[in-house]
Amino acid sequence: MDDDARVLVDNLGVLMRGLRRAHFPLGTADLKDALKALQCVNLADPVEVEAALAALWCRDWPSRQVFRAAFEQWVMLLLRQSPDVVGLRTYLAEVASRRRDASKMGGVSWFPQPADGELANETVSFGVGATRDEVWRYRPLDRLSDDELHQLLTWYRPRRPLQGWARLYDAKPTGRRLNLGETMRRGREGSEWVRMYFDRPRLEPLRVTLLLDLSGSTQHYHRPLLQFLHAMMRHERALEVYGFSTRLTRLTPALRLTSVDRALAEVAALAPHRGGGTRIGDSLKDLWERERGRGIGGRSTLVVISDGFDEESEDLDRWLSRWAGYLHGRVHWWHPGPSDPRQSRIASVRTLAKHTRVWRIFTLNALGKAWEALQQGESASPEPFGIMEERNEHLMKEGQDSGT
Amino acid sequence: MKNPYRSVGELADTLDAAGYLADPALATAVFLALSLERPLFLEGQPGVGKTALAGVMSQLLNRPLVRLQCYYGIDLKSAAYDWNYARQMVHIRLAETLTPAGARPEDVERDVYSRDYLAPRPLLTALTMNPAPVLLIDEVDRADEAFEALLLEFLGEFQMTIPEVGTFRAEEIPLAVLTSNRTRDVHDALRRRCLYAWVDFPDPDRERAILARRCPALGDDLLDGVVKAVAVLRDMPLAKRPGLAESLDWAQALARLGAERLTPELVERTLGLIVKYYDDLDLLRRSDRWRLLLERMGRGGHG
Ligand SMILES: Nc1ncnc2c1ncn2[C@@H]1O[C@H](COP(=O)(O)OP(=O)(O)O)[C@@H](O)[C@H]1O
Ligand SMILES: [Mg+2]
Repeated sequence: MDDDARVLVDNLGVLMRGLRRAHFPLGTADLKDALKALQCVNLADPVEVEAALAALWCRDWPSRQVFRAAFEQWVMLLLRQSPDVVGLRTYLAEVASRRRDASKMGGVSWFPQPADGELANETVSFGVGATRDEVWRYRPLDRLSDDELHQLLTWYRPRRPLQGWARLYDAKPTGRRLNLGETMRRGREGSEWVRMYFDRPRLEPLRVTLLLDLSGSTQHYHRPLLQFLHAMMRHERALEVYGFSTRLTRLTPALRLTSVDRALAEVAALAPHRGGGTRIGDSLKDLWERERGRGIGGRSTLVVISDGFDEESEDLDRWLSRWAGYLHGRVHWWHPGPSDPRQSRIASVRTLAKHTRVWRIFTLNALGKAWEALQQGESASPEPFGIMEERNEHLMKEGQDSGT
Repeated sequence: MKNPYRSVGELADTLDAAGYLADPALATAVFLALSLERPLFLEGQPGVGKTALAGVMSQLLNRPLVRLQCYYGIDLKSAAYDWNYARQMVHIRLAETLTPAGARPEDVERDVYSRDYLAPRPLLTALTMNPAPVLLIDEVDRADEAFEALLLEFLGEFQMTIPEVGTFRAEEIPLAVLTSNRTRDVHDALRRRCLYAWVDFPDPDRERAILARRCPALGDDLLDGVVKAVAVLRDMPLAKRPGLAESLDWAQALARLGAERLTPELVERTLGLIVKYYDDLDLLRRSDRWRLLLERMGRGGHG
């Protein structure tokens, strides 16, 4: 073996070590194969070398991605005149970290396998075809089967339970306003170092009250929304759910049941006469008179889930403005269904839109966005695929301007 | 078979001349498969030109193409070899009538299970053919694991053992091309015996070149529009992203319609050629990005 060949073998050995760290099953036979292959291609062309080694050593798409990165770093390493130990170490570590990233995205099955093996052949990788999960998340809620939604929700979690600032303050080493009393009190004991204390508002679970329209016009959305709320009920700490069609019913205890099926059955028993007319105004009145201070307080956020069709809009206007004032504008309106409430000419819809922040929630993805926006001061993250579910507020104003 | 090309570049140029525009990585993999006489495992989305590559190679190498289309439940009988039962029966009857004393059963059996009564199927055909053909085993992911196991000996040694007859070994190693659409993960043991190449969607430039080559009638504006629209579609979370086959179909249809430019109405009318699932259509209808693209397309005409 001449010197050049020995250098090549050494260098390939370095690449191989890196790849082994990234879980490539490579052995001596693979090195021999590689040497044979490299005799066939043009060694001066990095693209050919990379492709040749990849053809031999890669077995699937994720490993191909890892290989590309590893190869690039390997070339960088070779370009330095004398690859020192530190460089080598860094190289190895970086390759290994690539693997961690890659395993996050590639080649994983997103769903637990059900017993009957129905999904067994459905492993689609991220970035290649849309996963089932992606497809489902962008499919309108009323076209998801219970089962699909259930599978989605077992994996779906907002980042953390919703939180809001409380009125109470804690004395903390960092914060907004210097708390002189606390600083002095704690400074009495201890050394000559004075540690400053500041007031910092406490975080508390965000109190959210949802009013779910159980009337006939939103029929298709009842099951998916209840399923979603059931999942959220276990995730959140201060959630209250009311259902209304002709009268207001508290659904929270029903949704607290662990089993979805039992919870849904219980809801059906509690609010038996779905269908019939909607009285959003009346329900808001009931909520004001019966539940204020119990299910909903001054620090709550109110969410109305409805298509906004109501007979009397004067009543609605009065109670909505009262609620909006009481809650400092923390009234959201979630509009299920694909139609755009901006375009509506119906009086009650316009009234609702006037007093609330409007969100459309026809897919689980949109629903998740609306949910995260409940948190004060939290703006929704940018939409990766450009699908319409932005906050409609300003657009709504435009629509009104042009409409009147 | 001997590699007739001197370098990867030469192979790429020949492919190009035959109308197949391969990216350098794919050309290298094919070149190695020829040089090292190893099977080539092509993986990628449907419609990116995996099957077409085998066809082109057989044409370039001037070898016949032996094609095995896999399906769920494919077995030895339909993939490798079968016995010609009718001829076996005839032989047995003849042996009974022609031999006065009655033939010895062992002899008859030995005669009946010999090469003469073998009905070769694609795999065996590929082994026994001389000169060696290009063997295409298409959509391996559709077959089941049992079939993969059956391929192992074949791809590892290019030989096949038939218990009654003996072992067949290829005199000249055929160029074997396996393709998979990744509907299922193919076992590692099979991958280990092959060279691996991931066939990606072509980048816009290559796609444009391919379309221009295939439908020369297409105007520049239309070509740009198609490439741009398809690129946007591939970027969206569709269940089935349009492959090259779809964009070719689309371009051809548009050329047939005599269009000069893409307009939103035209796209709307012909969308079924590239987007083939209701869910995907639905997603497009709600997508801002797609709407913007159409709007820009529409405006391009007036301004
Ligand atoms: N690189 C390419 N150059 C020219 N034509 C191509 C290329 N890739 C694919 N095609 C064309 O695209 C179509 C689909 O290819 P096909 O081999 O059927 O896809 P696959 O087998 O990957 O599903 C064929 O008509 C083929 O000729
Ligand atoms: Mg094919």
